[in-house]
Amino acid sequence: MILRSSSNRSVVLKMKEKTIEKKDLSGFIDSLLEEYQVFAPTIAEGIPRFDRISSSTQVSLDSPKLERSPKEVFFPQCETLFTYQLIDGKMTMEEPPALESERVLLFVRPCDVKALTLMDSVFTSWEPKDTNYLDKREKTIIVGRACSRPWSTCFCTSLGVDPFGKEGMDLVFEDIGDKYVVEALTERGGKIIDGSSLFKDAEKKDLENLKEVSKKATEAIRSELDVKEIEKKLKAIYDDSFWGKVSEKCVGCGVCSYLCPVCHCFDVQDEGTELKGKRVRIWDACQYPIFTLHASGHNPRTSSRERIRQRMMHKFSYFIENFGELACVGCGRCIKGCPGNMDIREVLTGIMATEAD
Amino acid sequence: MRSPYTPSLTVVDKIISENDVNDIKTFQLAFKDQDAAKAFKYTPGQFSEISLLGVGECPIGIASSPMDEDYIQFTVKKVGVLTTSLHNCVEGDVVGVRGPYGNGFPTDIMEGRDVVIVGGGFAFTTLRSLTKYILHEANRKRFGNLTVVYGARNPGELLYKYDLEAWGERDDLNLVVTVDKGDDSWTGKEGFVPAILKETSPSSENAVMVVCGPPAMIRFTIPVIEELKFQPENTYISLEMRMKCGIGKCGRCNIGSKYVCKDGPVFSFDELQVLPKEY
Amino acid sequence: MSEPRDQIREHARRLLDEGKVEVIIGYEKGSVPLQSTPCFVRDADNVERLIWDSTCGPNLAKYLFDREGKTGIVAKACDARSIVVGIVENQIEREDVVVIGVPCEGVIDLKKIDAVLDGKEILEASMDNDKVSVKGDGFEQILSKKEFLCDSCISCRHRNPPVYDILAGDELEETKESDEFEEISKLEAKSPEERWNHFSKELGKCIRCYACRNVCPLCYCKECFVDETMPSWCGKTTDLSDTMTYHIIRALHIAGRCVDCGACSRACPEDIDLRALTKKVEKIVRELYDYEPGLSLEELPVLGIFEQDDPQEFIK
Ligand SMILES: Cc1cc2nc3c(=O)[nH]c(=O)nc-3n(C[C@H](O)[C@H](O)[C@H](O)COP(=O)(O)OP(=O)(O)OC[C@H]3O[C@@H](n4cnc5c(N)ncnc54)[C@H](O)[C@@H]3O)c2cc1C
Ligand code: SF4
Ligand code: SF4
Ligand code: FES
Repeated sequence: MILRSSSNRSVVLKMKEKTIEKKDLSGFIDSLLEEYQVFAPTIAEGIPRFDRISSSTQVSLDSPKLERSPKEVFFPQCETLFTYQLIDGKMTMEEPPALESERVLLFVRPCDVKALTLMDSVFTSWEPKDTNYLDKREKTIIVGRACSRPWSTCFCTSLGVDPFGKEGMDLVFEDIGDKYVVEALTERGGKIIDGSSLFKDAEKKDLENLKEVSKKATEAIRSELDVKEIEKKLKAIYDDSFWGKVSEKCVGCGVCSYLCPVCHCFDVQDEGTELKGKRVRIWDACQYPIFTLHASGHNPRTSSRERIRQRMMHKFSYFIENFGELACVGCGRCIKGCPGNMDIREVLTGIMATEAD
Repeated sequence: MRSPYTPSLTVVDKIISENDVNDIKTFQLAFKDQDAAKAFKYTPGQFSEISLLGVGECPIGIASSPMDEDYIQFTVKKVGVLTTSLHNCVEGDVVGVRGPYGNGFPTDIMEGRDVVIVGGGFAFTTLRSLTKYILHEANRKRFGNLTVVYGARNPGELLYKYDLEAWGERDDLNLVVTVDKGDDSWTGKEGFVPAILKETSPSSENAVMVVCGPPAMIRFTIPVIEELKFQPENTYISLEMRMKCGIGKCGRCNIGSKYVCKDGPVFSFDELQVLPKEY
Repeated sequence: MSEPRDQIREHARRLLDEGKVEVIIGYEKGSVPLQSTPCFVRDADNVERLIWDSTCGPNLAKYLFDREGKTGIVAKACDARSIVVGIVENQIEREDVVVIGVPCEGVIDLKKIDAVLDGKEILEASMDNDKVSVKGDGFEQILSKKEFLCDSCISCRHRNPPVYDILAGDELEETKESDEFEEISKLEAKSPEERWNHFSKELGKCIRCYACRNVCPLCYCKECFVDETMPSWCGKTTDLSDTMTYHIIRALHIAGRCVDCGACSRACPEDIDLRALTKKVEKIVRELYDYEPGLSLEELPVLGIFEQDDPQEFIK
C-alpha cells in the first residue's frame, strides 16, 4: 500500500467515468459497510461532522452548515499514544493496535482532501514519522465529493484549490442532479465500486452536465483574494504595526485552530497515576497564551499580536518554506467560527495592502 | 510499527545533588533493554524527552558524553510538575526516555580547530557533555586547543564540581571557572562570564565558539564575542523553547520556519540572524 | 433625538477630539451578514465605522481588563454590568473608562435564524426595529426579530445600563413579561437522572476551545484553573469527566459575578447550552443573598464579603 506523498500526487489511473443514481447511493453505502469501516458526514447533536457510521441512513449530505473537517478521522482531538501499567513491579507499555482492516472515508470536499495532504507533510515527511497518523491514513480510502455548493465564506480558489479538484482522492462523486458521476482515480478507489451493478458507464450527456455544474460551482465562489508572493510580503512586514491592529479583537480562544482542517498542533498529557494510565495527545492551539509559556515564566509570544502573527506566518510563510505549500485551503471555517468575527480573508487583504513601516 | 511517542524505560542508577540549595540534581539512567541502549546513539548537545509515567514529559539536554557507554545522565532543575516529581525519585525508579533529539553541537566542524566553550549557570549541562567528549582520549587529538569558561552565581551553584576538579589538573585544556560572588573558601576567579571571557581572550583564529547561558549572560557576552572576532558562522548557541513532541510535529517550538526540537537546539549566530527574534 | 448609532458616533468623535480618551471600543459591521465585530477607533475621522444594532452581541467589557490608558467604550446594559463587576473587583479603574451606555432591546441569535433557514445561507440582511429580512440564493424571508433574540435577552431584566457616563439613546422601560428562570425551573423539575443526561449530552459536545471562557469579561484570572499544572485540577481531554469539571468549576467561579450577558453561549461553536449552568448559579445567589451583580459601584462582591447573617444552611 502506498501513501501519496505530497510530492507525488499525480493521478494514478484514468478510468472511464461511471454514474450512480442518487436513489442507489444508500445501497452502495450499505454494501460498503459489509466490508469496511465507513466514515461519512453525519449530524451529531446538531453538529455536522465526519463519524463512523453503521447504516447509510446516518449519512447527511445536505447539512445546514459546513461540516467539521475530517481531520479528526486521522488525528482525533484526544488520542491515546500508549497505555501503561505497573504489574508485579514491572512497568509495561502498550500502544493501541494498528488498524486491522481498511476504512473508507466518504464524501470529503476537495479543500479537506487537500488539507489532509498538507497534514501528511507534517506528520509523515520528516523522520521519525508519526505512526499513529500514518496507520490511519494509509489504511483509509478517500472518497471525495466535488463541491457543488460552496459557502459564502469559501475562498479556496484564491489559494489554488479547485472545488472540482481531485487531488488526493481515490474516488470522486460529482453531483449532477439526479445522479453522481463517479470517477476512480486510484486502484484502491476503483476497487470499492468494481463489481457493483449500481454503477453504469457515464453517458456523454452526463459528462456535459458535469462540466456545466462544475463551472457554476466555481463561479459561485464569491471571495477572490490576491495572495501572490504573500510569503515575501509577510517577511517584510514582520515588525509592522499592522499586527497590533489586526490582533486587537482576538480573545485568544482555540476555535479557529480546532475547526481548521490544516492546524495540527498538539499537547501531550498523562492521564492516570504512576501505577496505571495512558499518555494522550490532545489538540492544542497557538492562540492560547500558555502555548509557548516556559517553565521559567518567560513567554516568547506574550500577546495576541505575536500569536496572530504566528498563525498567519505559519500558514502563509513558514509552511511554504518547509513544504512548498500554503497551510490554508480557504474553507472559511475559522471565519464562521470566530466569536469576534475575525475574518482571515480580511487579514490576508490587510497583509497584502500593508507597506512595511 | 513502533510509535515515536513511546519512551524506552530506564532505571535510575545514581542521583547526584549538584548544588547547595539542592534544586539541581544529576540523574544517571541505565536502559532496561539492551537494544534500546544500543539504539540510543547521540552527540553532545542533543536532548531527550524524559518522562515519568502518570506525571508527564519534558525535554532535558543530555549531560553525559557519548563516550560514557554504560549510562546516560541528565541534570535537572526543579521548576515545575515533572521536574519536581523527578527530584522525588530514588535509585531504582523507572524513567522513560525518548530520543535522542535535535542536531547537537557541530563536532564535525570543530574537528581540527580550537574550541571555546562558554557557559553560565545551569545551562552548562550539554556543554559538559561536549567538554567530556572532546577530552576523551579517543577524541582529544582530533581537536585543537580547548578553552572552557564557566561561571555560576556562587561556588555552591557550580555544577559537576567533581569534573571541574579533574579537568583542572589536566594540561590539555584551559579551564576558567568563575563565580559572580565567592565565599570564604573560594580561591578562584570572581566576576561575570562576559568579563572573564574577555580577560581570557581566546584566539578566534581557526576556532569555534559555543555559548550557553541565561538570556542576560548571552546579551552581555555577544559584544565580547564580536570583540574577539569570532564570526557568526563560527559561533554556536543552544536555545530553549517550550516543547512537547521533540520531533517537529506538535508545532510548539518554532522560531520562524525552524523547529528548535528538530532543526536545533543548536544554531549558529548567522542562522539566527535570519530568524525572527521570537524566542 | 437622533438614533443611538449617531449619538455614539458624535460622542466618540468628541471624546477623541478633546483627547478625553485614546481609543473608543465599539462595534462595526462584520464580514458575515448579521454579525458585528469589535472595533477600536483611535482617530475621530473613523467614527463612522461605529454601529449600533441588534447584531452587537460581543461583550466588549472583555477588552477593558488589562488595558492601560483612557478608554471609551460602547456598553449595552449587560456589558456595563460587567464593567461594574470589573470595577468593584479592582480590575478596572473607574477613572480610566468613559462608558457610553446604550439601552438595549436585545441582540439576535444567529444560530436561531440559521435553524429556521435549514441550510439556506444568508447572503444579505437588513434590519429595522422589529424585523430582520434575510436574502440568499433563491430565497428572501422576513423574520420577526423578537423570535430570534438570544435567550439571555429574552429573560433580561436590565435593559438600561446601571452605570454610564454618557447615555446614547433613550432609556427603555424594563419588562418582566416572562419568568426569568423559566428554563431553569424546567430543569429543576426533572429527575436527577434526566438532569444528568441533559448535562452529559450538552457538555459532552465540548471541544475545550475555551471560547466561552475567553469571551467572558469576568474570566480574567491570570492563570485559569484549567491551565494550572501544580496541582492539575482538571484533565485536558474531552472526556466527559474533564469537560464537566471544567464547566462546573467555571460556573462556580463566576457565581455572584456572572451578569448573564450570554456571550459564552453565543461564542460556543458547539451550540452548548451554557446558561443552564450559569443561570442556575445566578438563581441560587439571588435566593441566598438577594443579590444581582453589576448593578452598583457601591456594593461589594457578594461572595467577597462575609456578614453575620449570611445564610449558612448550604454549608454541609
Ligand atoms: C468566587 C470568586 C473567585 C475569584 N477567583 C479569582 C482568582 O482565582 N484569581 C483572581 O485573580 N481573582 C479572582 N476573583 C476576583 C477577586 O475576588 C477580586 O479580584 C478581589 O476582590 C481582589 O481581592 P484583593 O484582596 O486582591 O483586592 P483588594 O483590593 O484587597 O479587595 C478587592 C475589593 O474588595 C473590597 N474589600 C476590602 N475588604 C473587604 C472585605 N472584608 N470583604 C469584601 N470586600 C472587601 C476592597 O475595598 C476592594 O474593592 C474571584 C472572585 C470571586 C467572587
Ligand atoms: S480558511 Fe481558516 S479554517 Fe479554513 S484552512 Fe484556512 S485557516 Fe484553516
Ligand atoms: S465555547 Fe463551547 S466548545 Fe468551546 S470550551 Fe466553551 S463550551 Fe466547550
Ligand atoms: S517540540 Fe513539537 S514541534 Fe518541536
